[in-house]
Amino acid sequence: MVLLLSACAGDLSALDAAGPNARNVANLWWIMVAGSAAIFVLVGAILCLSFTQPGRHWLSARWLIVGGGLVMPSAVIAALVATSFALGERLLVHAEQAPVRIEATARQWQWEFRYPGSDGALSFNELHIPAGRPVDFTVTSGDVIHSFWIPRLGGKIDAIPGHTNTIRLLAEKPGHYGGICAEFCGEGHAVMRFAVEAHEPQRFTEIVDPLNASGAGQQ
Amino acid sequence: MDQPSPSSPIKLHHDLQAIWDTKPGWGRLSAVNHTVLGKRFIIAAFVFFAIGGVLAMLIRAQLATPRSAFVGPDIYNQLFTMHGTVMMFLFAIPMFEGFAIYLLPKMLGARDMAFPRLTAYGFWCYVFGGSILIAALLLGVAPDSGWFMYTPLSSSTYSPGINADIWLLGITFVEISALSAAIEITVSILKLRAPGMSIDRLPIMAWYLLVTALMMLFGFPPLILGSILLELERAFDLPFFDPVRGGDSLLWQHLFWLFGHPEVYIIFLPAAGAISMMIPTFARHPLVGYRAIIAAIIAVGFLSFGLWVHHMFAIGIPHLALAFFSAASGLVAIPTGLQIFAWIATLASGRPRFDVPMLYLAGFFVIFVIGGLTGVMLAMVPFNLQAHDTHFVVAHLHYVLVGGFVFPMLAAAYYWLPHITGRVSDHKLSVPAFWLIFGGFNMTFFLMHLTGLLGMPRRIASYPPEAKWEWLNLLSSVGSFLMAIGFALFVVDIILQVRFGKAFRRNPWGARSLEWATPTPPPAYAFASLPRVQSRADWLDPEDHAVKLAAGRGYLGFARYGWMETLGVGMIEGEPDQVIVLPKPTILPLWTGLATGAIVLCLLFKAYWLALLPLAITVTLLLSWTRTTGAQSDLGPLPIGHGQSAAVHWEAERPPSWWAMVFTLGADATFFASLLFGCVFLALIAPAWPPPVVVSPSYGLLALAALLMIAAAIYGRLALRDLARTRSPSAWLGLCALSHAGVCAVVAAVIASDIPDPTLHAHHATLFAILGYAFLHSGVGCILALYGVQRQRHGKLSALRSLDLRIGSLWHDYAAVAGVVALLAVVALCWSVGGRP
Amino acid sequence: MGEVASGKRLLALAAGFVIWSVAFVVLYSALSIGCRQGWSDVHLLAGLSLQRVQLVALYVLHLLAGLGLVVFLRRSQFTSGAAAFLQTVAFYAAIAAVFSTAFTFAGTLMLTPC
Repeated sequence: MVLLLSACAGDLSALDAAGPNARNVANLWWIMVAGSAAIFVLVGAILCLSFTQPGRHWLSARWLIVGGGLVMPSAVIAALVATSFALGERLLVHAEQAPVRIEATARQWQWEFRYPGSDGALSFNELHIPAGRPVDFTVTSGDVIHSFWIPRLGGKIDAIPGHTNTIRLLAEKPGHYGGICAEFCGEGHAVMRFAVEAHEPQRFTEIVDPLNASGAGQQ
Repeated sequence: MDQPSPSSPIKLHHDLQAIWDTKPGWGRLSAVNHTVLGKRFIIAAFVFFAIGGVLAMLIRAQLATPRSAFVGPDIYNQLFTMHGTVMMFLFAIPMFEGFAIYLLPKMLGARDMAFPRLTAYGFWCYVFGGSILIAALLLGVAPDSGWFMYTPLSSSTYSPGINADIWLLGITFVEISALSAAIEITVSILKLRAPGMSIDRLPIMAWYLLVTALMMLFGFPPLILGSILLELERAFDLPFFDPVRGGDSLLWQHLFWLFGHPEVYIIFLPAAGAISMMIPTFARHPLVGYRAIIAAIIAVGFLSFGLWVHHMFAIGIPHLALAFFSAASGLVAIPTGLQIFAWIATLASGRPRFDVPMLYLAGFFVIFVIGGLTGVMLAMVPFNLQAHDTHFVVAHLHYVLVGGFVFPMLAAAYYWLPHITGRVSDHKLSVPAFWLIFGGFNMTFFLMHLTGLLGMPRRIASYPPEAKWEWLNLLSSVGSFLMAIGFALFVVDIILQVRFGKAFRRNPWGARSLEWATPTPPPAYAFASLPRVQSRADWLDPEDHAVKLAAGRGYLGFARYGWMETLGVGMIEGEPDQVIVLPKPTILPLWTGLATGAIVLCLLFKAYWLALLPLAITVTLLLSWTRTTGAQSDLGPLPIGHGQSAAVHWEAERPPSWWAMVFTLGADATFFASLLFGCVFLALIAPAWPPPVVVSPSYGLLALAALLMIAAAIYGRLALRDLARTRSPSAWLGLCALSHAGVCAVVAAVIASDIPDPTLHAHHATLFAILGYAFLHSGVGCILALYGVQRQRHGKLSALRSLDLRIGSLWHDYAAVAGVVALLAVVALCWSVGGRP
Repeated sequence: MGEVASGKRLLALAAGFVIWSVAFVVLYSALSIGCRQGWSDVHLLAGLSLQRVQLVALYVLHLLAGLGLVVFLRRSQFTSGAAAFLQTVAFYAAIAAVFSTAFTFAGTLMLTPC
């Protein structure tokens, strides 16, 4: 188990969740893996039996087609889809809370982050967020399509020219997380990463305020 | 007219051979026979598979170590773009086409496909288009924007070179072949069958291919439209995808995946058809759940069109919309699961027997089930948002495509190769080849699921060592090389079998379908006479049929007038209703293919006016195909054997070419619907609307165009009426052509006066595209009407021989309906942005 | 049997899923247009938004159409081989299509529409 967990650790590992969003998905993943393994073993066993023990009454065609081909997948998929709908609703950005709002703009091949409050605070390829608070990212692109992804915090959202998308993420603890462009965007796609620093809320304000338009970490 | 007298089997064989065989030497270039072309398609597709495989090995070599300096990102981007493109468009689709072309007529008890010259033309288009892509790869200017070609990365601002044009034009060229094959397969299954093969007796393979072909007819047009629009943007700056001028990159994604997802099932279903033919043979039991499987295939065919957005879950659309696509994506697993259990049930009901094809099918079961399970995972939106665009998806798609297509095709190769070569293998290398491919595959791709979840995105050329993806990638690369060795062993095994295999008498597997009733290797005419089928055609006795058919005791067991004859049947009841006279070998398809290739090259090198020359040549050549068809006098019913007779196809009510036009128009209507969808999508969703300048169309001219369109359709029908009354239709046809020409002139005038600058905004560009569509349809209508006049002058028309005019009339009717819709759409689109009169 | 009549009988195989396809296009368009026009903020009685009401109405409408087809295919009887066969397959496909319609668009009942 320790070995398994250490294998799943990593700066960009979606399985090493550091926020509720990613944790829900990681849990869903482990449930689906267990279920899939069971189904795989079941189908494999029936296939082997059909070869070694043909003609048995419990392997009747009707039973196999209706039970295995219709009822089983329908039940599994209905349960899974319902779960993922419920989970999907929880990922939605609801207006009630008023979290921190950070604008992320992708360009070939760098990320620009604009912070709220203090006028014109910018950073490049380096994202500062408060820990323990939900943050809304409004994501867009200045040229081609990119995708904004911090795997340890949650799913990705595309940065599309002419459109603005919003995603809400939360880092539970202060720390360092990796961010990366997930959508192929040309020659610099592989190097289009960004570093995420989650700070204690007061520390976050202190860091963001002195940032000016020339920005920290500009390349 | 008397039925030719029966002759000895040997004489019959020589007579038919003299008529059907392709000439040796240069004469090979004129081949139109399905056995010859099917083999050529399969071999060409396998060559492209090898090229795609080499590209895959280069990709794995690059990713084997972190910070690899093997190739730079510019080359790497070409490698993965071409790997995907080659495997999808130049391997999978043509491989199944070749497979279908070779086997289908033999399974249906026909002597050839419905349109042999179209088969040949499709083959040349495929080879030339594929060659353009491979040449670009060797010259280092291959497409590099990904096989999905997302705009704006693929638009001229961010991909200024020729690379993207090569993809757009080359692939569109290859798709001509896919669409022509789709039409041909559809019509052949519906019309060209053995007598007695009613719709409930079709071999299951025919059902699979029928649904596949219909899916292609509705799935490819959106991609062709997208490619044309993007090429128009790249070449002439029409801003369909430019967000600054009212275009939207998301439109490309919708059009691409509207094709792209059905494509996966278009690849899987023929392979599933092959599985459904092989399993009963080895189970020694008829396929269980025939009707349920057909309903499942129909369900898959439709559902696969309702889940394209699962490639686009991260683009930011409402959760409820995501839910539709998510639910449909999960749902499609049910009919697929049903098929898997029907195959298992067939095995369980019979007395299964193990052999090499079954070994490969076992590999299919394992890999495809895993691919299906990860597919269901990816259908779940929250999980998808994490896994999307990572190596998890790379792993999933290879499990589905290699499991769902390559393994069944390897099984099929071992199963049907004896049919092609007349030799059986002694199985020495097939077993180690299987374990290398199977083991190497799982080593490469099973680990890749984890690589993806550890955060490795797709399409990155290098990664830093601290990312923890090092070992997984190295193992994947080692696995891929094992797999490559396995494929090399497979090739060696096939060569050994072809060269040294033992000859056999007939039907080595004890199969129960009609293709094994031909001699092996099959002669060009396939069957010396055509069988009468009295049971389901995937569970009959081919040996019994074989003897009778070779002796000429079936239908058409004679050589008449030097004609290449086969039978057409009623679609449902399967009783003969016409004698189809197939065209002789001819070099015209090659010339036409070359001329079409010249158009593509002109467009590629931006010689747009020069392109009109090969275009004119192509049209002329296509029309000249029909010089040899038809007759100058009425023949009446011809004897077909067993005391029955049937009309020759050009005197029949519904010959294959009439149905071909119906299906062509179906694909055309899909293309038009996609265009209208695109226009509405841009007006509704795209940024930078409303446009700065709103078009206020010339209503008078639009009304005139509409009247002329309707007039052309009416004149087309009047020509048909006069022909039925044994009067010359030429005058009406002339008026029809004139009306079409008038439409072209009026539409051109509308474009010139109302849309002087279509590059201004997507509003203008979309109106231009819609009017262009109407213009082209009337242009073709004009040519078809004049062609009718020409046929009349050559005496090929009569009340009985009215086929040419009936096909033309279908076009004129469609052009009128689509044209009026187009004009109404123009008005509506102008009004929607405030351009009221 | 005429060829065009045969064609129609073959089309019956697709009838169920054509209803599903129409439902897909209609509901997806209605959803997009409703979100564009802000119908989810137009509240009707009992806290239901206009968006929800119109989507659920369309959902139910297409389910009824699908069920109608199932009943129709169940009623018409053929005894001869090919026609009876086609009808059975069309019936299976229609049932699958109704199930698909119910499943695919169930989200209209509870999920956030915009």
